Parts: sequence; C-alpha cells; structure tokens
Amino acid sequence: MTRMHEVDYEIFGDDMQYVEIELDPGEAAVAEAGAMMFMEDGIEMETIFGDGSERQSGFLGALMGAGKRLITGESLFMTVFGNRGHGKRRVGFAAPYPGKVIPFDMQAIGETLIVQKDAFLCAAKGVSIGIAFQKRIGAGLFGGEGFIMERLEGDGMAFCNAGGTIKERELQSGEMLRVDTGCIVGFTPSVDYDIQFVGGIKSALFGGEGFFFATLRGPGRVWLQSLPMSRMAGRILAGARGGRGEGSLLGGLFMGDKS
Amino acid sequence: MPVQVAWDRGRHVLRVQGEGVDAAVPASHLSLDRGGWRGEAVHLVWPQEAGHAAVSVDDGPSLAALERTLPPDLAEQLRQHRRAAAREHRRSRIVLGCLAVAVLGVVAAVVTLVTAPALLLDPVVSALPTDVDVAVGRAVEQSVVARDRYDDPVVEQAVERIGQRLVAAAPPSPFRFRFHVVDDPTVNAFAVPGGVVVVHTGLLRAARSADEVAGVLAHEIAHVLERHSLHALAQRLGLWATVELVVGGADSAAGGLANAATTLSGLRYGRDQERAADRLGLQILRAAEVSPERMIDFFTRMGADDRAVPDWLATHPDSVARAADLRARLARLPAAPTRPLQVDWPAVQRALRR
Repeated sequence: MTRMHEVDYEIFGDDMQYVEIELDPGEAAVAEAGAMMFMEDGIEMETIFGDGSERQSGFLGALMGAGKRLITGESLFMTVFGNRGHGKRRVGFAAPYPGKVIPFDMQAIGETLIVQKDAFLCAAKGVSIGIAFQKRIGAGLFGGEGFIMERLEGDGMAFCNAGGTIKERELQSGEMLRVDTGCIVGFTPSVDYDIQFVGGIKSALFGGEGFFFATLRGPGRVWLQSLPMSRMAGRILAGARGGRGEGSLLGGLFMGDKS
Repeated sequence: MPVQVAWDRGRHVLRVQGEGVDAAVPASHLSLDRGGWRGEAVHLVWPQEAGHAAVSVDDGPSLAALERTLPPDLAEQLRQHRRAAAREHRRSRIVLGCLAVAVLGVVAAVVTLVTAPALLLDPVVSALPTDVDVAVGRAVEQSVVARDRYDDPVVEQAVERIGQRLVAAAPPSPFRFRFHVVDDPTVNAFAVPGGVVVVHTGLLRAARSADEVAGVLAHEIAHVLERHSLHALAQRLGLWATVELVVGGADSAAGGLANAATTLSGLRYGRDQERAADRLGLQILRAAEVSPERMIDFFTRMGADDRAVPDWLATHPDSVARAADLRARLARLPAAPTRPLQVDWPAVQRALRR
C-alpha cells in the first residue's frame, strides 16, 4: 500500500521551467517554502514543521527532520498544499533561477534519490526529505557538493530543479563518468560518487577545471546539469564588477551607453 | 526493498525478483563489486544480452544474509568487499573526527580570544624578546617624555640617583634603566617597558622624603623587571597591535604607541601583578639598604586621602590593604641594614616649588 499521494503533473517552459501539479480532492503536495507560483481555488496552504511523511512521528521527529533539513539548505518549514475542494485542482511551483524541473518517479528509480543541496522543489505528500551525509573526505571537500546532500525517499513523484539543461544517464556496472564538480544534480544511491585528481600540474592549474573531477561510477542513474547556479552567479557578478562593456578593451572609450 | 535477492541452493542460482525483473543467475556468471555513493554497497553483476545487469545491496542485514548463503568463493569475495567498506568507514571516521577536533580547537581559541584574551595573550607576550620592551620604551621616551620633561637638574639628578641605587641592588636584567621626571601635578609614577620609569612632579611634591620616592621607584622597577607593563599594554592594545609589535618592531607600531604613554600612565595592573610588584619592590629596597617603612607610609597616606589624590587611587587601588600586607610581610622578615639616600630632599622640594 503506497503512502504517497499519486499526483499528475505537467511541466511548462523550455529553459525556465515550472511544474503544475494536479491534485485530486484530498491529495496534497509538499513544497519548499516560497516555491509556490500559483494555486487554484480549493487548494489550501498549510505550513508544517516536518515534511509531511509519516516517517517522522511526533514533535521530536518533526524537529529532527526540520533540523536536518536546515543543514541541507532548505528552510525549517515546509508548506503543504492540499486540495480541499471538489474536483481536480492545480498548484504551480517554480524555482528561483533559470533551469529545468526534473520529475522523478521515485518508485521507478528505486525509491531513494540523493540530490544536491537546495535542489528539492516539491513532491507528492509522503516523500521524505532528509539529509545524506557524505563520509568520504575527498568527495566532501573537493567533489563540488560538500558534505551534506539531500536524500529523498518514497514511492511517489518528486520534483527537483537544476540549472541549465539536464542530462540523464543510466550507468552500467563499473561504467564511469568524470563530471565537472558542481554539475551533479542527483543520483541513485548505488552510484559510486568519488573524486579523482585531474592529473598533470599543467592541467590542474590552467585547465580551468580545478584540481579534481567528480567521478560517478555505475550501476545506477545519474542526472547532470549544464549550468550550476553558482557558476552563473559568479559570471554575472564578475561582469557587473568589471563593466568592460562589449567589444574590445578600448570599446568603453569610444562607445557610449555606459549604463 | 523493491528487489528481492536470494541464493537458491537447490538450483545453484541467484534469484533476483522485483521491479519487472525475474532472473536466475548461475554462480559462474556472477561477479561482485563494491560501490554505492558511500562505498558501502556491494553490486552483484551478471551479463545480459546488451551489457550487464546489476543489483545493489547496501544494508547490513541483507549483506550478512547473502554472505551466509552464497557459495564459498562468492561469499569470500563478499566478505572482502564488506571488510574494505568497514575499513574505509573507520578511516573516514578518524579523519572527520580529527577535522572536527581541529575546528573545535579553532573555535575554542577564538572564543578564548574574545572572552579571556589574557589566557592566550600572556604566553605570547612572555615569549616576546626583551628587545620589544626596549623598543617600546624608546618610542614612548621619544614621543612623550621628551616633550613634557621637567627641566630641572636638581630634581632630575635626585631621582636618577635614587633610581640607579635601586637598580644596582635589583636582580640583573637586560634593561638599561632610565628615570624621567615629567611636569604633571597629578600624583603618579608609571613604568614603561624596557626600563623607563616616569615620575610626575606631583608625586615628588607629595613625598615627604627621598625614601618614599625610593619606595615608589622600587615598585615601578619591579613592574619593569616582571614585564607587567608589556602584558598590560598588550591587553589594552589588543592582540593585533601586539602581533604588529612582534612582526614589525615598535617603530612600525609607533602610531599606536603615541597613545601608549597615555595608556601606560593610566594603566591599572591586575591585583596579582600589583602584589608581585609590591613584594619585589620590597626586596629591592632591602637589597639597596633603603628603609621600606617609608614606602609603606606613602601608600597608607595616599590611600587614606581619596579626595586629594584621585589619580593615585585610580592606578593604585587597595593602597591601604597593600600597605597593610607589606607591613605584615616586613614584620616577618629579619631586620635589614639601611643606609640613608644621598639626596638633599629639602633642596629638591625647593627646586620643585620654583
């Protein structure tokens, strides 16, 4: 018997996506605080301290859950959007940065998913959002994801957001991908996540990829993003500070429009 | 668990069921591999038409059950993988533990620095070479003392003579002591790191004999010898200024030291430091064959008259108590010979009134 609410959904947009979840009467979706974009009549919003899954019982359970979530970068509170009306109703959720919404059919991928901090967007009520603690020092320090990742568990639908374009790949047993640190969105727990030295001081110093790759070794499924938000933010910041304008170094002298 | 894995002893195959899979894998086709995002899972892999299929097992009980039921060679492989996982687990625990301890250590140091800086600061200052004291003293001498010097040879020589007699009897030190008189009506004398002792004319006027002045000077000399002023200055200026002193020498910190003289003149040493200076001062007086009684008299007199000498009390609290402490200490010691100081005190008083 599944504890999850089975929800229908539709993802809109190309590079700046949002997801609409269609709830039957009585069904609910749980989302990060602040993720809601719109909700139809009949949808009621309630802020809860846990994540709504029955895995944590009681106040202490909720407290522990909330505490762990704060470490992962989500807020202490989750909001539950329930359909108290009659008939199907929709509620939309969107991420605060350009990118895609990835739907995860948790049941199809083995009911557990490890995703990067802050990737969780929304899910059918019953999916638990917890902490995944990386104990491999190397991976924690240089892997690009830090020591804390999020663990999603359940057998309903879950949705995560990622920057850029998404690559999904099924890895065979022993098959390895070397990934730019920061480009990992998530993976199933059977995937071996580690780091590898770039090799060669020249490449390490001037290759632009840093000293380490993140390595993902199968079996399992992995999701990668082409543009981590932090990278884009860094570029925007650098551009705002430098203000060199378009064209050459001298362009600023002769072109007008220094806005 | 969505997938069931079990070894079928009768048919000598591994049964894998679930998630749309129903396979019976003979032992010869099976290979084991360690993996999982934390290195704790064991993958059971076997070939298929296109590529391989794999089942990942990462919970202890299931792995234990498999180890028990699999044929010996596979079971042995499984055991190796589990042991390797346990080793990695232990190693990471140790490293993380060390990291945590290191972080805690840094946090503790920062907290100590903020709440009780003396604890961390004192050993650092004690380790500073005495050149720092000398440099600080010279800087203060140049910036302030030269400016406010009380220009009267009678007074200056008297103070110098008293001072040097005490220094000769004091424990040896790398410092070259200088005694300066500063034109200031407040009753105060203070020690500067490196051997500079400054006496205000106010104090000289309040003293009834050269012996009383000797007592005060002996006390200040004691402060210099114990480097109390350096510790107190470091605490007042803070850790950074002290580090600057160490790294750049007093010359580079001269800017901050312009305030140093003001700081030093108003400096209030800790009670322990004062007691220590009292005792060492007493020792120096006795060694110099100067009567300590007068120092005690001076302290008592100053302590009793709080309206007249607020500055003294600000920098020398508990005067009365300390005088009593010294008197008791003196009573316990055998009598020591005394030689009068070769100073014409009435002449000094006359010079001060000019």
